Amino acid sequence: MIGELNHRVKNLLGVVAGNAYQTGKTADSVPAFVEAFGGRLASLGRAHELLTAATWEPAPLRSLIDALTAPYRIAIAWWIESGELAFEWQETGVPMVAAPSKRGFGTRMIERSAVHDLGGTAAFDGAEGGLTVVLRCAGYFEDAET
Amino acid sequence: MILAQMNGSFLSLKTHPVGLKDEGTFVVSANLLDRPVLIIEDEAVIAWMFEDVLEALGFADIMLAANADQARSLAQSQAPGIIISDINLGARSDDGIAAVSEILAGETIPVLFITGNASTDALDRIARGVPGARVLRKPITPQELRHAVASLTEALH
Repeated sequence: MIGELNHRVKNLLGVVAGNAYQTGKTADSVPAFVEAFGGRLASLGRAHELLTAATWEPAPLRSLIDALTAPYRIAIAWWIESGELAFEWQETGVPMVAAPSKRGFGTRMIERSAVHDLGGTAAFDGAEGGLTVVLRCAGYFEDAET
Repeated sequence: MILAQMNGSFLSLKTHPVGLKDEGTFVVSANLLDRPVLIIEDEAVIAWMFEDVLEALGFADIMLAANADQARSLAQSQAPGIIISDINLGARSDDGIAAVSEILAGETIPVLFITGNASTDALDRIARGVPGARVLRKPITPQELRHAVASLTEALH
């Protein structure tokens, strides 16, 4: 039990170090680094809290989405399409100038996680006045009850 | 900046500054830089850091696996010249020690385990299944990774 906790803590510290590294690549000053890195740590903390509340068991997608997005103007839809889970995230009322040209940490992190963690893809579409992100992954949720 | 040294078989690499002021100079065997690297790590953000550091060292061909199955199939498509692996890869996957020893099948290439699980049991299994592998504890700094890769590749000569 203590051994397992030790792995998890060490792994989480590895994730924190990875975040610090990526933040350091693009921050152009120390205060900018502190601000961005602090925000990312806070997000990591919130995600951890949600997963702890669910005792790291598979949780219904709907309750996870409700908990995460309640304060924001975001429309989320998901459906199964030829064996794939498609998950669409639509943000409106945000100032978007076409598709993100300088791909920042968030965009790249989402892309990489979609490929690495889900074996899927992420597509970004920055239309006028909003952003649409579509995640797709094959068969990943077949075992879970939804 | 790349400085070729006298005998031509080594490259002295001054890596690009990425967050740290003094990155130091590391020597990575030139013929190893041409071989594919296999990174086995389930956390995307950790794999991303490893990839960046290796790219800056001059490795051109880097394969990323999130679990043991992906690692096996990538290693089959292209034999790696160096492997960097986590040990715990999540409940759905065999662990890194099992995957790496299977991939090597007795062959000797530089292997570096970077793990939060450096238990005596894990170290025993590494000594038996992947002799010669180095083990680093998470979390590691980019500098530690550069040092470890450089010393692994030096040991080849």
